[in-house]
Amino acid sequence: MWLRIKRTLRSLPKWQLGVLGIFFGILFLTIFGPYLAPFPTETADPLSRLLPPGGKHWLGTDENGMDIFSRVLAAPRTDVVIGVVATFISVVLGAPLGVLVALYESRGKAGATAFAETFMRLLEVMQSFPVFVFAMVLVAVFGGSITNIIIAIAFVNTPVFIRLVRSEVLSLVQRPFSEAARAVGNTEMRLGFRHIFPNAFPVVMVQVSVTVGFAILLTAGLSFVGAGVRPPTPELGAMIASGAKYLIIEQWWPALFPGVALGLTVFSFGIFGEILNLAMEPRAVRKDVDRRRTAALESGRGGGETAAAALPSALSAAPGGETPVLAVANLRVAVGDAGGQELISDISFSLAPGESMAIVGESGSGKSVLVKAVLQLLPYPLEVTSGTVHYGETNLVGMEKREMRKLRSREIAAILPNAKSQLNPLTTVGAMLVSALQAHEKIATKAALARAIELLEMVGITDPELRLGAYPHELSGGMAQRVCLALALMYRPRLLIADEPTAGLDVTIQRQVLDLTRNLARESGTARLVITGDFGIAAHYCDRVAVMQAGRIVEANQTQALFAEPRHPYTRHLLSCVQV
Amino acid sequence: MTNMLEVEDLTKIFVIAKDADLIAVNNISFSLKRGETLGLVGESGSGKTTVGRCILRLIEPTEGRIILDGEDITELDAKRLRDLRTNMQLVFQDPFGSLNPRLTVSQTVEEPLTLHGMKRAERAERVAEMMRLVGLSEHFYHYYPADLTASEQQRVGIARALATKPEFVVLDEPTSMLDPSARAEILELLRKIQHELGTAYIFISHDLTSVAKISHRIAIMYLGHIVEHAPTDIIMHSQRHPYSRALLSAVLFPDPERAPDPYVIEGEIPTAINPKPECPLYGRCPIRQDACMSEVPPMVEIEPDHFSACRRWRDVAASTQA
Repeated sequence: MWLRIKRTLRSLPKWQLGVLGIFFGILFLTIFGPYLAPFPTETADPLSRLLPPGGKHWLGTDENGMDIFSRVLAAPRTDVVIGVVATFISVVLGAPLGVLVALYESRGKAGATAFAETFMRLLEVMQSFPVFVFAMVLVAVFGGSITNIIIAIAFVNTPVFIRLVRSEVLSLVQRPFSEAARAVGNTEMRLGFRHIFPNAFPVVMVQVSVTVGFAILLTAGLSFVGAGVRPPTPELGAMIASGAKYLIIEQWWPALFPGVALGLTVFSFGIFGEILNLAMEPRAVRKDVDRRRTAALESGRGGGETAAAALPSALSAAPGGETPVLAVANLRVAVGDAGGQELISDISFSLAPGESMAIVGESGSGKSVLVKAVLQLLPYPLEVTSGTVHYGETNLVGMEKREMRKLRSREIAAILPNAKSQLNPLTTVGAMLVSALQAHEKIATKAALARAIELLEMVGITDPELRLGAYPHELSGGMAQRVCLALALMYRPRLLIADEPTAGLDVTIQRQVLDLTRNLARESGTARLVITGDFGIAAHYCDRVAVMQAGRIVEANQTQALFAEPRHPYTRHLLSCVQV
Repeated sequence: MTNMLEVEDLTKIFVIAKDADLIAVNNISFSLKRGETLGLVGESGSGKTTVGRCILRLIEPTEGRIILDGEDITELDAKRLRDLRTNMQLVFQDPFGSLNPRLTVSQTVEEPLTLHGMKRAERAERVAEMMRLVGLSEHFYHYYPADLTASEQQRVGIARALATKPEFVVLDEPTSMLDPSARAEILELLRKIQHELGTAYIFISHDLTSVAKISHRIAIMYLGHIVEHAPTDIIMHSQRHPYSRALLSAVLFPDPERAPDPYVIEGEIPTAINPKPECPLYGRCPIRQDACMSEVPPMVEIEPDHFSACRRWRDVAASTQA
């Protein structure tokens, strides 16, 4: 708990710390304000009316001769107490109701949906009524006591919490941990209140702080129009109201100071909500995790050095005098700022035209970072710190973005995992292909469409004419991957980089896609760099294999040789794990 | 040994819209002996996950009987069912997502025991026993799920499922989101637990090789049907259903010398909404005949303990792709 607070505080920007100070200041005044006031706060003094700030009245006096500084100190008690109590009531009523409605709804029994729908519409009616007018009516009918103001504000805010908690619970109940809770034998009630509600709590707390601010504003507003707290009780809204009429005769202080106080109060409650949310997020508290990972990284390095050095020939393209399509030399990638942990350490390899190479590694080995470094798509704050990536004769590192873009789609193509999420969901397959074609050459739409059909045929999509009109969500995973392949291979690129090209595809579909990719690449003489965690793909679809661990290539060899005679202990370990 | 669990004619239909019934599980039957592992293998859309959920009654089956220790659990009310949950448990695919992010490791493992009404001292002892069993030391007790690696998270999920020492556990793709080395660890752990506690497993997966490592018998599912069912060795070496063979030939063994069987079935799994009364594989089958279109082929015991739902099971081994 304490640790969490400390870490949250450390992560805050300075201005938020300031606001946090104001927030606690206001809480302090709520409790002690009236006792700190140097002058009586509810006693008129006709002799000292409307004195300007200065002298013994620091912030001046109001129309009744009362000290404004004293009243501003005392006022938060009224406003904050009303706001907090009213909000508390709304939460206590609204949150459990929200949980119950959502639980009932999620059981999907006949009638449950209808009930929930009706209930929600009723709440909407409640909410759509202008809050302010509604509160005014309540107070007008029942009188302007503090209790009535609280009831009015609680009443209009309860639906906010019912709706909020309901929607949170409805989404959390779909999460696997909810099903797990059911599976171990939790009752629906316990599931709702012990497992789900605590996970919805941060969102509720954020809303609470916003609502308290809003309730304070509402209290002040009601008092301003005379439907709330009555003078002489110190209350910010009423003070602003009584001071407002003096603004035009240049006596600004009776309205300004309570106004500023009100603004600060509402603002600081809002910011406090945000900070609270940050503090309550479930985050790792374990301290040794980072250290363990670093240790793993370092142990990987120790072994890596020798084995990689032992097989320099296997890292470079088959000798033949040809310029390699891709040559990565001594590449290093690190986190740009803050000490700069190295993610890729001194990687070198090359790829001959038409050749294929697999980079195999487990999650966290840096294989995806390597892909991004080659494609010059490293996200901030990752940076290439040294080394080169040559495509033919050109070094891609530090290349101009426009040049790189040109290369990227025409000569270097990439297929990334989860094809479906990469296709624009609002565009049909046909439009996608046509616009890709037209981005590269002057081609009439009609001709482009004909090309698009050819491309779809090439990747084995049946009824290509029909599929042109399909949106990505209408495609299966395998089909979407084929479309990506069509987009990637459109211009017979010299290099295809496939990052986990079949992740998420079913096994029978995986075979189809892998076969297709290999065959098309062979036809067009495209070299392939395949990044995968699966030794099976490496074994059957690539000429050479490099094994990555902790940012290094620990072993590389011709496919047959690597599987027949793995030399590095890490390779041997991984292969023993997948032994059938 | 008698069967501990018998599933008879289980069917689950999701009504998606008027006139659109999605038959996720279509009239399947199987049984499970004490201490045994049954592998349930299929691709996405085969209904394997739904079967697991139905057996535990986390989803209400539409038809069929599920008999656990002689008692039909499809008839139990909510209270009795909760009591029975101590005896049948579930391990999830998503190691992190299936743990409540706000409960510590020991709270998570302890909860089923609390629900079971176990005394505090006994609970503490059992939690310690389970943590030892899954190989997590004491300093893990106060960690939150976010503090753990995927493999450790999955160990916590297993400890939670086993806390009440259930007779059987449904393992729903417990290794599919793990790296190969973590996968090997978890499979080894599951085997060890079965050896020590005698727990029976239903191991659901799309990965035939993982399933083969741990299962005594394997049932292959396709489009809501079980199409072949036999001891693991037979499934792996002499399949008698074209889909089983295609599934096995799609496995890429991590050995370049072991060339993949060129037996590939075309196309993709069709929809299970209002399926036609024909063989589920009809549209993709390399050895289909007109007769396959007339009805859903019944499961036939083609040799002792080996069931296939293919009329042409004799031709499966010999056939190659057209």
